[in-house]
Amino acid sequence: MKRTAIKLIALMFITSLTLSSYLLIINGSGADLEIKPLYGRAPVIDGEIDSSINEWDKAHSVHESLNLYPNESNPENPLLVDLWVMQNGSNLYISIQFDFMHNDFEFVGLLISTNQSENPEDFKDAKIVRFSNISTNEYTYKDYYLNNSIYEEDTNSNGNGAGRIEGIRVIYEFVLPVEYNESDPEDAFLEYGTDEKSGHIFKIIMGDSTNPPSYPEDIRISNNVLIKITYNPLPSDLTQQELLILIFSIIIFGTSGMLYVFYIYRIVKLKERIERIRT
Amino acid sequence: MPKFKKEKKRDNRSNKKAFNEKFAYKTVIKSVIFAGFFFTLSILFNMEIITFFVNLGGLWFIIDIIIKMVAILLFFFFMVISIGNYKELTGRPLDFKLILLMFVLSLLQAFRDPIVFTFTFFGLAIVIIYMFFVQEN
Repeated sequence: MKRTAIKLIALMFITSLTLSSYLLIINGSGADLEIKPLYGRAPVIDGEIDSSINEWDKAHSVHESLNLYPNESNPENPLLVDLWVMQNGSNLYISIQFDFMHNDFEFVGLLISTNQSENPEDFKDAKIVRFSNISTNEYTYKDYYLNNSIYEEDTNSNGNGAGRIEGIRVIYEFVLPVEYNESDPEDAFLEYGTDEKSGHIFKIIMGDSTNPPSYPEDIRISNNVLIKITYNPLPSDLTQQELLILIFSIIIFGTSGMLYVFYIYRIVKLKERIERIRT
Repeated sequence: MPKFKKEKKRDNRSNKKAFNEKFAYKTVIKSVIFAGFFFTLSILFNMEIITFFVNLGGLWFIIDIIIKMVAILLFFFFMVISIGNYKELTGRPLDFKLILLMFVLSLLQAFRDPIVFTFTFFGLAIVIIYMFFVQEN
C-alpha cells in the first residue's frame, strides 16, 4: 500500500511537471543568423532604451551580434552591430545598435523577404530610418516596397521606426505588425510558424545618401538574418521571470491539489473499510 | 441476570465506539471540506488570479496580504485536523513527516510574495506549537 502511494505521488509529480511544460513556449536563439524572437513587454519606439523601466532588457529580447559587409559574398571589412529582436503577440520589434563615425543622412533599414528566400526579388518590403540632421537627431521613418528592382514609398505606411545618436553609438528601433493585412501587396506579410520552412529573411542594411536617397543603390553594407516568429498562447506581456513564476505556481498548486484529491480518495476508501469491518 | 447486564454493557461500549468512529469520520470530512475551501481561496489570491485588492492600493494591500496568509494558515490548520483524525481512525499516530509535508506545501503557496511568505512562516510555526500544546493537554 505504501509503495503504491509513493508510486502514485511520483506519478502526480511527473504529470504536474509534464502539464506545466506544455505551457512553455519554444524559445531561445539559434545560430547567429537565425533568431526566434521571444515575448516581452512592448518597448517604446523612440531610439532610446529606458533602463529605468527595463525597456528591452526586461523583455525576452534576443541579443545577437551580426557583421554587416560591403559585399555579402565576400565577407570583408565588417561592421559589427548588436541585433535585438523580440515580439509581443501583435508586433515584431527589432533594434540595431552599433558604434561608428556617423555620416550625415545615415540610414539603417530592414529589407524583408516574403519567405526564407535570399533572392533580391523576394525582398519586397523595406522599412528605413534615415537621419535628416544627425546633429539634432532628426530622422524620418519610411515604408517602401519593391517595384521593378527599385524601392518606392508605400501608399500606406505600416510599422514605425526611430533612431538616436549619442556620441559614436547609434540606436535604431523598428516595430513591424505581425499577421496584419495579408492582401496588402506593398508589405511583406509576417506570419507565425514553427516548421522548418517558416520565417522570413531580413536584410539589415546601412548606408548614407544625399537627398533624395535611392534604394538599393545607396546601401553600403548589409547582411541577412532569418527571423522565425512563433505564436505564444500566453499573455503577450509575460516576461521570462513571470513565466517561471507561473510555471512554479502551477507545479506547487497542482501538486497540492492532486495530493488533496488523493487524500479524499483515501477518505472514501477508509469509509468503505470501516463499513466492511462493521458488517 | 448478571449475564444479561454484561451483554448490555458490551452493547453500550460497541455503540459508543461506533458513535465515536462516526463522529471522527464526520470531523475528517468537515475538516477536509473547510481545508478545500481555504485551498481554493489560497489559489485565487496567492496565484494572483484575483488581484482586486492589490489594484486598489493603500489599506487594501494589507487586507490582500491578510487574506493570503489566513487562507494558507486555515488550510494547514484544517488539513492537519483532518489528517490527524484520519490517522486516529486508522489507528496510527500523525507523524512528524506528514506535518512537515503539510508545512512545506502550505508555505510554498506563499512563495510569490515575500511579506506573505514571512508572516505565513511564523503563522504556521505558531499553529504547530498551538496544536502541540492542545494535543499535550
